[in-house]
Amino acid sequence: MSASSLTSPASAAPLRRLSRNPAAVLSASVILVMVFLAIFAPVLTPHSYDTVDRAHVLSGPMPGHPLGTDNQGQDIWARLLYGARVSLSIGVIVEAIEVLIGVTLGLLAAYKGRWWDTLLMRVTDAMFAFPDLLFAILLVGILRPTSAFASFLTVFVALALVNWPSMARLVRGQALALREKEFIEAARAIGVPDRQILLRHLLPNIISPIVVAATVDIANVVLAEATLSFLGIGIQPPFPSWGRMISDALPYLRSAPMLLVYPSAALALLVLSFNFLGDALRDALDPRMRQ
Amino acid sequence: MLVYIAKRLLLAVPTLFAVSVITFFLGFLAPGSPVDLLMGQHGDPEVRRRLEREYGLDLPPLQQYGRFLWNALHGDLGRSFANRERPVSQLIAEQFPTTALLACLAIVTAVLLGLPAGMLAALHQNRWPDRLVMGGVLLFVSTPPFVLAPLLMLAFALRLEWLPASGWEGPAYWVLPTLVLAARPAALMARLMRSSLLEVLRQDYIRTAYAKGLSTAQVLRRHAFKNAFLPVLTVLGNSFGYLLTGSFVVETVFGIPGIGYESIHCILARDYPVIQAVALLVATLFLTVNLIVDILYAVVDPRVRYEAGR
Repeated sequence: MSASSLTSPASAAPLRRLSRNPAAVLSASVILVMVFLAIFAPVLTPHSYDTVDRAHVLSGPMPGHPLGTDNQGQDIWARLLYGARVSLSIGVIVEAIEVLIGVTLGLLAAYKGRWWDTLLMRVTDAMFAFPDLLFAILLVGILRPTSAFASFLTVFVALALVNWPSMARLVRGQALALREKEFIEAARAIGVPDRQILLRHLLPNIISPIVVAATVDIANVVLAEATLSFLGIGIQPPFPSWGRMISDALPYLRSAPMLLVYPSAALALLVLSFNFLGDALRDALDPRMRQ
Repeated sequence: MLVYIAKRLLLAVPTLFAVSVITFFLGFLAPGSPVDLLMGQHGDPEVRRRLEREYGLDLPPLQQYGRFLWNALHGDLGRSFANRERPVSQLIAEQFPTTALLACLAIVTAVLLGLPAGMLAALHQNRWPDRLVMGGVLLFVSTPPFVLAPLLMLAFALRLEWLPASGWEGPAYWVLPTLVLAARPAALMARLMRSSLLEVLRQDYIRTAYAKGLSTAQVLRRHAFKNAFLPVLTVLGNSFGYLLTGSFVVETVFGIPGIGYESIHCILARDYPVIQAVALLVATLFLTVNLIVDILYAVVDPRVRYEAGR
């Protein structure tokens, strides 16, 4: 550990390191721009995501439709903007739920030990037995919401259910390693209540791996939503989803390839940015990883 | 060693049990009765009762689960709702080989691409080969199969016309799906191989090996590779799970008649017996593969064996 990181406040050094990393700055900017586009979608396009222009179906860029229209005559630019809303809100909200559940259960398991711990490990073991997205696919496929709005809720629930175990395991592992450290023992010795030890002493010391994992996880959640929607069991029309736009574009691959390219590029760019930012955060928070 | 394997096998039993409970009771979350699906346009209560008896749906849930588990243990996975004449196990037996072939091709491709790429990156740390590989890693980790598949299809099948766009009729048809499916595992393996090799190359015994006058190739082959490869084994196990669900997407895009393609159809048609069977099968396979990887780990690395034996 360098002398400067010992003297400067703990939180400032990583941020400074992050701001010196061009990849981090670029990816953070991309994410901010996408958030901006998503929030101001109604200002940035006169069309709604489900406005149908029957006179122009599968048209290229033209006045009124900056990126052209899809096979139903819907404005692609508008659908991209509102699709960003869907992707980002699902990414952020699911991640928030995941962190809440994961941190709570992980800390409890590590600190209370005994059967809390056994229970957590067995339940997560069973969840991990379903590879990757399979559990979410099953859950959404079986619930099969009938309304478009219900499809949102189902996707939220399914993705949060699938993703919390890895966060809980991470928190548990980190907390277990810290539990035996002297400063925790000291706090316990002078009679600090459990709740305070957990929140004031344990949690602040494991916050950086949580932040890194959560950032990378947002990328995975965004991808998962897009996959479900691509398979036709995620967000239901008329709501736009980049995944759905990609599957809708497949029949027109030869005649209108741009229909595929726009949502693919948007999705890859957003996911790439979160992955880049996560990697950069890891480097910034733990300089030893850099080497 | 045997104690370790026995321990791992015993631990897998409750997990498998939990998996079967989860997959079975997921079906009860479904809105409406599955019999409604079977009945179609019929309104006849007599037909309904007969169907309920036929599928055992008139029994209490716990008893239904008991039957499901008992039959599954005997290789009987029930019958499809959509296709009542065909047992699910037969359906799976017909389609699984295709998916297995695709998954094997993909994992071999991923190893052949990922390991050398990771080693190249580690040996040229922070120079252009490293940056190129790591850039590719982030790109392929961020590009989902359903983006990569149509793009490759567009380029190599529709524009260049080098390869067929869809179907599953011979080796030429295997190329694109394999590449799409292998992309992410290859990227993950390259990343892990790089960091693992960098770690190993810093060890004292590597310095000793260089000091003896060995060439880089000799050091890699005799001392570094084996130790660096160990952590990659774990990714191999996890990748297998990704390949199984990735095949849902890849088979759908390329129109490959495998388990993934079939499953999506069944999910859209609410054919629960098939969905449950596929979930059970995939989870069991995934658990088995990870168990094998863990055991292999202990076989290859005496340190793991020592830790586990204590």
